Amino acid sequence: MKIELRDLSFAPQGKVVFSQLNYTFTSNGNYLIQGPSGCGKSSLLTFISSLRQASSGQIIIDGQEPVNFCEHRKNCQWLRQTPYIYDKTVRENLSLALAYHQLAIPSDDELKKHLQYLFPEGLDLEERAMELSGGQKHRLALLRSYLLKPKALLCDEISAGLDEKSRQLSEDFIFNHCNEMTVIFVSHIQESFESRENFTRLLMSKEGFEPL
Amino acid sequence: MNLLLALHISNLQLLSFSLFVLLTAFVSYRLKLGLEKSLLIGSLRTYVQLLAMGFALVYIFRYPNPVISLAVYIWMIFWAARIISNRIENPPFPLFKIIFVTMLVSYLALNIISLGVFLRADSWYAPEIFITIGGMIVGNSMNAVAVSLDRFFADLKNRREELEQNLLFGMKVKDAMNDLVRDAIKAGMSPSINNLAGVGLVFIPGMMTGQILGGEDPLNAAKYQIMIMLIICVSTALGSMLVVSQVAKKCFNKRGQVKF
Repeated sequence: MKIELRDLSFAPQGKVVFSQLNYTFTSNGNYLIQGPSGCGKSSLLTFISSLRQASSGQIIIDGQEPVNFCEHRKNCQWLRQTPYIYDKTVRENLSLALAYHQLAIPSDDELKKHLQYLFPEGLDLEERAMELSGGQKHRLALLRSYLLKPKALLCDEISAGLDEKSRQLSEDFIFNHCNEMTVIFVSHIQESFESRENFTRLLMSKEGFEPL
Repeated sequence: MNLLLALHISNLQLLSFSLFVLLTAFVSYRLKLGLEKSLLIGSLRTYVQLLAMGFALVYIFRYPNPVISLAVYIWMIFWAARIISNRIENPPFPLFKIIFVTMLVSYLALNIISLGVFLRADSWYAPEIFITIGGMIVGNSMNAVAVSLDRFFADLKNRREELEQNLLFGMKVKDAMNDLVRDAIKAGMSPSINNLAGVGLVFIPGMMTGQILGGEDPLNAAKYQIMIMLIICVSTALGSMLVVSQVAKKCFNKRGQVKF
């Protein structure tokens, strides 16, 4: 998914957070946006996923403004910092959105293969998802979004508040499984991404993006 | 035919009941409940408003007229809609109009169907049925609608993450809101459903009591009560469903984003 920001501005109650942001995230590119807290990084992701609306400007997806917002949101999965987990089983959490869109639900073998990758400590499909730890919930949310086969994955502060193991597992999963997606990470701290190839690092400020 | 002698209440007897209120007010004062003022004002209003209504109804019943029946109906719904919209604290948009129009249209239809189709009254506006049943419908469902809306706005705030997650999964607004709307309607309806189960076992309903004291045969009073309770149940369901779903729709813009 190619994501173009055109003159995007965000000024809630007249207070300018960023203005006239212009940038193009290329299809299947990997990005890390860094910047101090409050510079509008997370808000930017809510605008790209069209959960909320920027004050002005446009977001062009693959050459046009999205018309079908449901379809766009499904294709552009936003992983929030504290994911919302339904008070259901692990299996139900994973299949809820797939069932809604009448998409094929992966077989148990396939699901277990993913679970083994993301949960080496072991996780049962029938476990109640509310009882998982914060890190496990995050990994579950990642898998849940991944199964929807989105064209873009927006990761909000993936490492904040996560234990080292969870962060490592999530990152490995993304770099090994999500090559066909545009991946945008947002973080206010230095990430351990230097060793990754084809990674564009950007510093976000009021004036716009600056390559790092 | 009346089986019992109607109990006639003289003005003095009616007034003597205020002694109960005074006693309660005194207790409230001694226990520092701070309820005396609202208790006294409330009782005074009950006397004045109901007696005024009684006087007005005597004349309205004597000269049946569709315009007056309708005007009284609109007047009742106007106040119900005002009371409901005032009860919701800090609504994100004005609620009065949406409640007023929805209640007016749906309850009017319900009332006319009850009178014309089921009761086969001489005229759809026969004031002694149209206005009294209308009053019961509006009064009872007012609470249901207020409870539903209250719950809906609270959930819109407290369950925002759930709602947003549904939207992020690409659900249509209608489907993403489904659980919130359903829970709000259930919250509004459950008192009248509880009433359906408890009536006759746990309590004798107010209207039936009033009729029996007024001299009506208890069996006949029970029949009326059944009819009224079913109509009330339908109207609370109808009111809560229509008002909540109208309000829910207004909370989103055309992009399917929550507006506030």
